[in-house]
Amino acid sequence: MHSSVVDELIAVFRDELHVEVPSPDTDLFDSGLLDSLQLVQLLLHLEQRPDLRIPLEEVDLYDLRSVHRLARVIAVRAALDRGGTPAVPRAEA
Amino acid sequence: MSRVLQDLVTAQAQRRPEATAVVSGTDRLSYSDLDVAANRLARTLRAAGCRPGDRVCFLAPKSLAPLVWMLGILKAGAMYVPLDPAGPAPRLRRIVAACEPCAILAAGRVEPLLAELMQGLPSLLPLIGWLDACPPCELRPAFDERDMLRADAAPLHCAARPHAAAHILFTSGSTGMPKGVIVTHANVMAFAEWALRHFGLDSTDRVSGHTPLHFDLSTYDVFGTYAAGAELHLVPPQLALLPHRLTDFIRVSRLTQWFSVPSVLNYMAKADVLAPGDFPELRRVMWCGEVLPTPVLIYWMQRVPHARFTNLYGPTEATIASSYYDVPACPASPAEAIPIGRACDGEELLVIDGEVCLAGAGLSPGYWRDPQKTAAAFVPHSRRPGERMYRTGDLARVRADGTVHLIGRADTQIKSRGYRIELGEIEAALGTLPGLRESAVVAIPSEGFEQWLICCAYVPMPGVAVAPPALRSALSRLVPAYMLPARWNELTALPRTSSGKVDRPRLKQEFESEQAECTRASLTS
Repeated sequence: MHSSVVDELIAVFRDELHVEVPSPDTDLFDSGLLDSLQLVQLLLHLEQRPDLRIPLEEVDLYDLRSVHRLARVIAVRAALDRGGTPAVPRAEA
Repeated sequence: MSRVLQDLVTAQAQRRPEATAVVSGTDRLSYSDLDVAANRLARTLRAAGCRPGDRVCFLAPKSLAPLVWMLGILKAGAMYVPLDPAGPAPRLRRIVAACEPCAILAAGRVEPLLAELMQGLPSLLPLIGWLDACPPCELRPAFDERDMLRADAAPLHCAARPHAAAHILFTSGSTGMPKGVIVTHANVMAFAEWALRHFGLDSTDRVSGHTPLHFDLSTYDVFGTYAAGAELHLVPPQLALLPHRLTDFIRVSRLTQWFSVPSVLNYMAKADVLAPGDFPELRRVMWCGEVLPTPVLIYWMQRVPHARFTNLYGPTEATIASSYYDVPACPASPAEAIPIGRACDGEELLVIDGEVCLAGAGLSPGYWRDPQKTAAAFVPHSRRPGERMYRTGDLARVRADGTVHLIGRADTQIKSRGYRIELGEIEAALGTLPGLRESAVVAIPSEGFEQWLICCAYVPMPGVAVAPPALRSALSRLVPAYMLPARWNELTALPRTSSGKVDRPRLKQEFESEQAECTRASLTS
């Protein structure tokens, strides 16, 4: 499962963006935690972390709404990059 | 000429009633729908006790509804005051307290924000008009959507006064209190009419509505569209997060005009989401609010060579924009500076002792109920006795060929993603937080698309542990998200100059060298 990715993302939010995300399911838009400036900052930090790459050209707003969803996108991308099939289903839990 | 803004819509509704005026997602309003709905609202407001000259605030996510409200409020002879649906409540409360509206119109997912802002308002609470399904009973709306639908659709008689205020737009204030800029019908009309002539806008145009309605630039999107009988396409705010979705929006809506702050154009260029010959129907690309980096302009002009590119310049105090520069050809070098050009018809642009001063048809009557700030910024005209001019605080150089180039600011105001930010407003808010002994806010140039990074240095109270996430979160309840610092440094004491003032240049240097360190680290990693 992608729980380690979830923890790492929460750590990036806290340490780099100075944003405390209350829960992996918190709606990042409705709570005002993520706007375009914060998103770009997030992507800049993730660029330095090949294991946490977000394929921006493949994602939709839906995928950015919570840490859980971001983690799913990252996990799917990582699995595809390894040449495998994604172990994480795309359908929403 | 005695036309007022609402006449623009009435004229289109008579000429082409079925033509589309505004599009938002799958919803659209014709000019006739818009005119009739605004008539009903004007009568509803009048029945609720709103009188000409009153203020009416509105709070709603970007959608068709607030477009109807702006017009309905004007038709009732009142002035509209848009409130940012992103909050925060204490800041909105100060705005509402300052303008003492007779009513606040609301719809959509703003109920908690509205409830919070109503708490602690000084006496004489404004009426709530809940213009959406299911009025929330806790807010006790004085009228709702059903009252509006029942109201007579015939226009309300209201004397047209072109020099009356049409709206008040609040911008960042250096002491922590947002300043309300009063804008008249004639101010907006002058720009809209110039733009119509200059750009040749007509009823075949499909215009972007990107800027939020509480910002001055949106006034051109809205009333420029109505003046031309064109279509306004509201850009969903969340698309701003995804550059490829923004370009999809431009393609699918077949926009003919794009107008935004430069950071949006920059964001799309950095993500490289434009194809050669993209947006075949796009006729013009305009930006305002800050400098568009020339490499970004080159990127756009190479990919959309069929469009006209125009740099507009001017603060809210002189309404939308006061000067323009049509870029004649793709700049040969990324180092080429783009000037702010010359004054729009009816406007005047002067550079006095290096500071840009503006006068003419767009000049606001001043700040809402603040004669002191008004007198400080709107000064006697340097050449024409009896007239006024506005001191922008923008520093400029006039080149030998007469072109005017911006070079910086005379104060600590910055522009980040087009948002006008007084660093003093952030410091004032930090000053109210418990746990901090002192703090200072500086801005350093950024290589990112936002152009400036806001940095905060703070000293906790002795024995108090303070962490940036908690500070950021506390501050986010007092100032809008775009004012939140990106960098936080805890110090044991703020650096001081020999005169005892906070040594801001030194703080900036420290943040800048830290930033350079980060950039080096990421390049070598």
